[in-house]
Amino acid sequence: MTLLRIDGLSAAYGPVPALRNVGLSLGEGETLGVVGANGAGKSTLTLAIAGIVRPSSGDIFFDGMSLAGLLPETIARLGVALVPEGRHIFEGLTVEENLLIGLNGAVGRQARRDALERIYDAFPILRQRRTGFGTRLSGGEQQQLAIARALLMNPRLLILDEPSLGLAPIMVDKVYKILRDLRQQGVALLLVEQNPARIAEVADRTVVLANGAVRLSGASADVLSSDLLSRAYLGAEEHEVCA
Amino acid sequence: MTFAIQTLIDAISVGALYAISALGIGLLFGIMRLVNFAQSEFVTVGVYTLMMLANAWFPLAALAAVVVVVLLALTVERLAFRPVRNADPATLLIASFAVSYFLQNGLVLLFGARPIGFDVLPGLGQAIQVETVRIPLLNIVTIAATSTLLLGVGLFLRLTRTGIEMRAAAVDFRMARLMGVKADRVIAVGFGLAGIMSAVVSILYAAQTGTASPAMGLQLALVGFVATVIGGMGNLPGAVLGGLAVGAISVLLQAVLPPDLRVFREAFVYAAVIAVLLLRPQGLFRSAAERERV
Ligand SMILES: Nc1ncnc2c1ncn2[C@@H]1O[C@H](COP(=O)(O)OP(=O)(O)OP(=O)(O)O)[C@@H](O)[C@H]1O
Ligand SMILES: [Mg+2]
Repeated sequence: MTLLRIDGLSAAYGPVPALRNVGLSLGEGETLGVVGANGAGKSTLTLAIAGIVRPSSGDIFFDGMSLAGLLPETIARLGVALVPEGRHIFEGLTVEENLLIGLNGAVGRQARRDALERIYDAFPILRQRRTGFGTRLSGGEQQQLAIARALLMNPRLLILDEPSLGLAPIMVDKVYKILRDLRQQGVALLLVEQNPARIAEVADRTVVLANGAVRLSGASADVLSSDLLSRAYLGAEEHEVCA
Repeated sequence: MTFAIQTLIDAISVGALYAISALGIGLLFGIMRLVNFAQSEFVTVGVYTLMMLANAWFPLAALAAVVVVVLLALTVERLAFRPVRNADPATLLIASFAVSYFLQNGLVLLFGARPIGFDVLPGLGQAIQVETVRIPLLNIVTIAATSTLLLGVGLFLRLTRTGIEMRAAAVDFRMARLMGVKADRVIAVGFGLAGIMSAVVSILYAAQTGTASPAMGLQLALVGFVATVIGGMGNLPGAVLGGLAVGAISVLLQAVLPPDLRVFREAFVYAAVIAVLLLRPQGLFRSAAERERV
């Protein structure tokens, strides 16, 4: 069952094209990696799915339904959660308040409390720091908070934009452990990284973006070991598929 | 000593009015990058409502002012700001001037340009004497009403789910929407709150000035804007502190400046604002600890 399908998607910031005719799909419970150099269009792709960037052409279907023209909050409530580049922890809100924002779905005080407790069990550091400001956490802790509050939205598709950016290696290990666990639980993931080194730990398939277009796609192991990878990063003209 | 205490009480009551104006401006600025100069007219329309009901039972007139101003705020949002919501801040600013100008001239058409005198709760003109200090009742009522309102809004923003969403939206609107917070709802609640706060300001302002005139709200909106700048754009406690500070400073300047310099009081206040913008563009009250760690 296809959860996300993107057809012929193009987008631009004014005259600057950022995505050109991008197509990809993601099945229920599947994990897809998206890699590419600086400015390749990875973040734009995530923002287009989430309804922030309006495509100039092409379609995005989530669970068979077109997302065209829907508001970001509507898309979020349909079950698409984006953990954006830079984490965007709410300044002036405590850790717990940051989490509460994610709890749109849970109705009733008890359901909210239970959901929060489950998250605290999975992320003990957040329980420990729940009354402190979210922005005072370390980078790795903030990334955990960003992922945790996205999970409280009960997403069917979780999109992560460079979750390891700026983190110490030990924190990257921690984040990737969380992502592997989520994959195990059957959450569909779209994982964006600039550095493809670890993407195969999580992603079944990977696509490579360059200059806003898909240049290479296939099973993660094949894509990452392909000698076409560096050419694709540098913006080869053709779309290649690893068999 | 007596003079000092009286000046201080004056400073607090003026500062409190400014603080509420600043909170309204700061809230909408945080959420939608709108500097809502039409908030002047929210206050002015409240004053005119009270003027028309000057002979009615006061609680009824006050309630009417709140209802009229909140409806006005919601209507302005719907008709004027919603169509340009996604425009750049400059466009929003022009839209807010347009609304402000339109409402102000509407009042001129209906009531004329000249100030109209009337009395709101004339009893408040009296003062109570504590030892050697004379405290006008109006100051006491102003301080009590504004602190109750600030406390109420503060509790709302802190303890209710909608309030927490408002704070999240005020610091990062886009992220809040990505987490399912509804833009329409947050903005409507923001305008509703700005309306309630403007109405309370209009009641106290009417009691202070005893007149209604079409441009009377401008000063408050300007100070509200200035206070938000001082407090740090999007920082709500900062806006409140900024309002208190501006009010207190201008009253204190009034008290200590030699008489021939008093007319330049505002110039001193705005010079301070320019200094803040130059030296601490993030605002005076944003602590290093609260800023995002990278
Ligand atoms: N808000 C914006 N306004 C104008 N141009 C933009 C904007 N955001 C991105 N761009 C441009 O669009 C292109 C794609 O940018 P995007 O952020 O999607 O790349 P990215 O793959 O996420 O890069 P990075 O690895 O640096 O995060 C780039 O050329 C970038 O300069
Ligand atoms: Mg990016």
